[in-house]
Amino acid sequence: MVVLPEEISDDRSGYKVFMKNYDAIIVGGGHNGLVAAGYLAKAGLKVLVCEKRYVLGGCSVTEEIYPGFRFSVCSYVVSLLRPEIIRDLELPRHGLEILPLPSTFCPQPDGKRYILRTDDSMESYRNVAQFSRKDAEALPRFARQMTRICRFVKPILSMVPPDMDSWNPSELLKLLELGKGFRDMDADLRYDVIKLFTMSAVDYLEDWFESPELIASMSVSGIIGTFLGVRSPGTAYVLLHHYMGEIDGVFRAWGLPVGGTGGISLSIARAAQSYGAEIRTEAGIKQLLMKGDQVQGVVLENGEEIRSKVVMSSTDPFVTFKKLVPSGTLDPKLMDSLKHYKFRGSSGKVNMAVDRLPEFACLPGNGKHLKGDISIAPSVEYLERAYDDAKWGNFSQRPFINVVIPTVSDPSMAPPGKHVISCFVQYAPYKLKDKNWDDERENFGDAVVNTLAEYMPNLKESILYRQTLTPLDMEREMGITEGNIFHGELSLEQMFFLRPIAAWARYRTPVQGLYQCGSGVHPGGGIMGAPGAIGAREVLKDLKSARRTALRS
Amino acid sequence: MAIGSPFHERTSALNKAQKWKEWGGYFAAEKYQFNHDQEYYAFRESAGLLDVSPLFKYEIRGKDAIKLMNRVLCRDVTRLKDNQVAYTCWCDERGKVLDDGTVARFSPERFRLFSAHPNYYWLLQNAVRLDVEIEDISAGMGALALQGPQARNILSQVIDVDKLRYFHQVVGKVDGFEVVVSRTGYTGDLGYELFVDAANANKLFDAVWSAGQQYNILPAGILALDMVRVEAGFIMIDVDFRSSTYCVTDEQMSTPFEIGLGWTVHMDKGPFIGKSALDKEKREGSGWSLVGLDISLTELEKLFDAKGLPLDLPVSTWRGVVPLFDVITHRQVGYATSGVWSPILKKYIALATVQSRYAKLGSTVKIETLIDTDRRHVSAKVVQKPFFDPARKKSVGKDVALVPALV
Amino acid sequence: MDIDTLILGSDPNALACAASLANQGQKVVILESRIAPGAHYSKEVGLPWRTPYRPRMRRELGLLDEPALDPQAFCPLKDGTHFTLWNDVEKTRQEIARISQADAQAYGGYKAFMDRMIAFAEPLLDQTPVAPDAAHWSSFVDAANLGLRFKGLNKQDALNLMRLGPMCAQDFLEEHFQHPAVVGALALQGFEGRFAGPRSPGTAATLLYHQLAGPRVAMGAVVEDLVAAGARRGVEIRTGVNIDSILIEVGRCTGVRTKDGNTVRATRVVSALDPKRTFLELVAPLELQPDFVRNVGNLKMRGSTALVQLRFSQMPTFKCLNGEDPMPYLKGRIHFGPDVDVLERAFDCVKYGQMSDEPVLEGRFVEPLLLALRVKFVPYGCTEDVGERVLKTLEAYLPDVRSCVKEVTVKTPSDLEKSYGLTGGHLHQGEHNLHQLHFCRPLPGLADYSTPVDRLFLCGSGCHPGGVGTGAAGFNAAREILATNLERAKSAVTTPVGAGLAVGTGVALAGVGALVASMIRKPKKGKEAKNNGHRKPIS
Repeated sequence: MVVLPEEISDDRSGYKVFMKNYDAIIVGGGHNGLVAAGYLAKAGLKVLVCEKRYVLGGCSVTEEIYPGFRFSVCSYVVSLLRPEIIRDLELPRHGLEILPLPSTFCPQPDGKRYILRTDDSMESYRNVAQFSRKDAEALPRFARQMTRICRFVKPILSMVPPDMDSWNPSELLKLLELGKGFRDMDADLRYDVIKLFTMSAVDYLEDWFESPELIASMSVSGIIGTFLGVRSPGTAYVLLHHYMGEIDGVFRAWGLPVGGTGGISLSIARAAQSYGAEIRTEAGIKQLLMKGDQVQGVVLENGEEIRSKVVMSSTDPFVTFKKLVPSGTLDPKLMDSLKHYKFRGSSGKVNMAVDRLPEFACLPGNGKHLKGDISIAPSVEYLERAYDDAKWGNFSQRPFINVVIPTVSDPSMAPPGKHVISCFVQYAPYKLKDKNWDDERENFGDAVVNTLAEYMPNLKESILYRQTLTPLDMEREMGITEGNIFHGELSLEQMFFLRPIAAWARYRTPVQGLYQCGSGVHPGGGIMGAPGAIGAREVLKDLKSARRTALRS
Repeated sequence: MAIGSPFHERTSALNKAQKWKEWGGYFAAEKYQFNHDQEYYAFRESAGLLDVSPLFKYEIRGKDAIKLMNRVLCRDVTRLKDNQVAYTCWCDERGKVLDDGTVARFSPERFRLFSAHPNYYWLLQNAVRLDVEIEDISAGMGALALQGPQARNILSQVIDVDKLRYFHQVVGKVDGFEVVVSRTGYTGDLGYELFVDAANANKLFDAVWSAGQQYNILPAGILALDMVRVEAGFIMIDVDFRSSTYCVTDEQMSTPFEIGLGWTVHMDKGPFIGKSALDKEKREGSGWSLVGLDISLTELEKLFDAKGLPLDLPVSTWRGVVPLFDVITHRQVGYATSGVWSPILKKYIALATVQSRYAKLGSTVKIETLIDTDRRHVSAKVVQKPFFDPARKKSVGKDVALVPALV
Repeated sequence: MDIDTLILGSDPNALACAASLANQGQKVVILESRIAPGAHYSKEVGLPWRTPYRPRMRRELGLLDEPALDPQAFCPLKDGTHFTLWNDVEKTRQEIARISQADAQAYGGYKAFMDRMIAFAEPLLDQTPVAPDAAHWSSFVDAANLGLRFKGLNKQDALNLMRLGPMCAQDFLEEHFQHPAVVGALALQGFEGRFAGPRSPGTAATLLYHQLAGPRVAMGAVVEDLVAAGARRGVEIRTGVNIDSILIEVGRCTGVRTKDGNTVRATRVVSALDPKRTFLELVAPLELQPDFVRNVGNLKMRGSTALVQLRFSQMPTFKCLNGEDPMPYLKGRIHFGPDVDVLERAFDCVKYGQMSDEPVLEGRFVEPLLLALRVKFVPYGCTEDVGERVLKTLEAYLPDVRSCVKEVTVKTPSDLEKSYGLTGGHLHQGEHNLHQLHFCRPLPGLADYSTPVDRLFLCGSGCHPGGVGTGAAGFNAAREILATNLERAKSAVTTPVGAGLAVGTGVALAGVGALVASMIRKPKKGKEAKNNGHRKPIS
């Protein structure tokens, strides 16, 4: 049942860590917390990671929920994981393996037609030309433009957001650099950047494509994890966010981590341990230990106190500031600003164990389409109505579903011949109107299965087990507020130097020694690791300058 | 996966080597035999039959067809007579080449455009408010190239092409179905391209194939074609230059002048896409030029000899980027993109892009060459293109096949 | 006498541009296809209000001074209560207090914040937008000015302004207010000229944008006023002239051809028509570059407002007033039943090409018995009976509306397109989406009212600053046209200072010191970057 690697259990059993002093304690053993631990440990710090659950990974976790079947319970594919983190922490040596997804597949409700885009460009051309020849030719043009834009946006992912309020020359220069980058862009590119930051996914795609089916199938990247519809402005940026990933140097490629997304977390954990970090599970943190404005360590839920001058929180801003920091410590005005920070979880997850390979009515049999990413997104109106359901407080009766069948590429996830189907579902709003999730959970699961069964006729009788996760479940289990998978909406007003709020956007907090390193800080969510890496870098920078000051005095 | 062209049934039966490449989403024979040299010699001595169906083919019809063609293409199509064909390139608004291909004028209201990349989007984008209909006829049409000195003798048994002049076409009938024959090709020799409805593809193939038997016709693949096209000095998209549609930076793009297609640009016609940028470049000169190189065999021989090895020459065309250097400073001044040993010329030739001041005929650069395991610089002289240009390519007389190639 | 400038269309922007050019001694002729000038601003259309004139334009052209509408909005509610937004803050607070004490408390702070934002952003309306890649020294001054003013804002305001941009009107307003009616009443301006609902991100910015020019004034006799201002300066208006195409000879605009086959020549042509109509219908396609045509074609101009006029035989009764004299409330805007959810549901319908059962109605009694309504959201190509749905909705507030009404005139977006040549039936010649504002309005490179065609200019509300009937775009365009005239042949001054500095880039923020520093560093770095062929990563 438990998927802990041996090394970690060893540490746990020994309880050698009791009452020890650490250089840094990391709250939360998700991928970002572990990345931060890895970087700090590699720099020679004595680091302890405390994870509340019995298993590491946070939302990048693999668990054997049904005997013999291992589910990537929450997150399920990877692309954004920063290549420099893979290099710096030597993750392949610690077990990281990623299989590229070779296709995206969008079956149509008529049971006959489908949009299948694969790694074979001419095959995609022919498939899309069935819907529109013009669009088939527009695809490579679109891809080229995205590549060019990502080149401008990507460096932003690894930078500390500038302090907008400062007159400090280095901060101003950072702004100027950004401005210069923007200015030096080709005019057409700049216009597209503006469009991408302000338009809706559908509006932007309509600038390029004419086939409603293709537009619908592409627009869904713009809504993943947000509480917005494909026609809501701002979703074009999320589209770009999902285009920014890369695997083995190939832009826009998505991959399936071997062993589930928990495999990624474990590889980072092993890397961190190899540099000397200690990791404890079932070590939930009750509160921070404070002395005035300075953090002194943490108190575990079991009452144990662990001391450290540096605490990094990879939990979301709400948990960090409302739960971990003792109340009354923070400026009430800033706490007010945090109230406006939007979580609004909007997605659910349905994982299924099935006894045979699913089969699509429109494209029966095994094939490349099953190995890739499968979207139930037949039309823009379908998606928009799914959003409208959620807007008015219901889960979508006919939701957008992103299906991945990891066992087609990674047979280790299920017994031979059996499969796991992972369904990411939108929309499932955290707040239901006049209902509660504990009553609605299975209805939601049924809605997902019924929707899927329209495309996969053999699905229902093949299900051995079904796990349904609502935003409420994710909040309870994984500790993410309102079940928002990105630790807060990826909307422009809470990005970059405004994430989570302007005053706390640069990894530091008003509490001396408390840092943030979760998806709730720049550059945001997804299995990216960047908040952890940049956060750790900032901690090291501060420690270094503190040491220098100490030496001088 | 790639799919078979309309001739696939025939070509796959003939393909002894079972060597296939992907070309425009179709299976294309790389070679039919263990060695492709017989296919090469067929092109130059008898006739080679090549399936060119993967080309993209568009039909442009309507009152404004001529307007659209003249707006998009660099050449002036008003100068073409009906049933005349022309080679041309076309550019984006910054004068960067998008693609090259041939355009056939059936009438002022009907054109066909043949290209290596898809061009429907671009044609459509430029047809706003024009009275034209653009049809992609690629999938429904098979295309065969019959190339070589005996091509006319073979083809005239099937269809009347005796009076067909170079870069002209004729619409004829074979067995009752329509075939368009144009005297064009990618080999720089006497040759024809035949276009037929996919449904009749096998019938046409059989007719040409059986007529060719007494002239030693051979099916030919991409490898043989790639040799003859370098001899003919023909550049290839994605090899010798790139389409600006797929380039990420400006540096990767080329203008017609930079790739030696300046002669296809008719500056004196009305406005066309890219005109102002090209006009400027024409006035100010281009930074780069595409040239033919003749690589010194003497030097090569010496270098091999020094390693105790016999001279080793590329018997099929290499494609890639091979740096070229200044003879004295050893700074990189350009790059060669395809090169091959020409068996008929007995020369090692290459196509290269160089800074314009090195483009003068007779100037010398150094080309990087692999001598077994060592990288060495060998002299290469800039020479006239095409390297191979037989008179029979254009002549109309009956006995063209007998004219020796190299006089 | 030769025509200096030919202006196509005769809406307030065209008239303002004409008067302003004529003011500088130009011979200006306006061509209008209808029988009278004014286009969709003429009386029969029934636009109930407009943005006031920009002060400078009013001074220079000697235009009438019109007072702001007061109340800004009288809001009868479905439950039989009502509240009113007056121009006076205190009075408004008392009104809001009747339905929500907390919101009344918040109103003062909200209003003060908006006023500070307006003070910051308002000068932008009168300036030609500075493009980020502008190299001209004057654009640097504008950018630096903006940057300094931004730095001058107090910290919290500056942050809120940045947050405001991408937010949706509802979220933004709900940070201040709770009552759905208050939020609804204030949110309404957030989607004037947009295809968006209160929950669509970006509408908070539109909300601010529409308040920049100050509270609305009565549409009144704007057309007559501007026509008179033009006439005083010798502007000639030719009505009944249908334009077939814009004449372009050797890349230069020389006049127009009319539908009856005549040619009118002029030194330059200024089009007050929308960009799609100008470039996709009047300019020969071969004169424009394909990507430009594509960008124009992609402009978002989805009209979703219908104009309805109700003529009454007698004044209908306002249920909520319980017999109180309605007259003091009816001097300004009336917003029937504001509710933020109703707004969103109405938008939901228009997304699917339908009209809501409960459309959003705001209007004004333009005459004692004539109610002019703007009806949101009505889709282009709407098939529903708009008049009937309007009456049905009004019955909740005016129970006797059906017996009082004498005549209903409806203009759907399709009607507006057909009669007034407004592409998509869009009243503002282009949505006020963030990517269609400022230096991107109508397209990057065209924000200075020039076009890719030499001597062809734009001056309609499709250009910066957009808006309704202010004439500001026309007035700004005239200034740029005159400047181009002076500078023709003189190429833009591209000094290293200008080049290094326009970096001040919109969002701005740069202090003078740092700007100078960048100036010193910049040229060297530029060279380096070019040499290695890749840009230095930003960090």
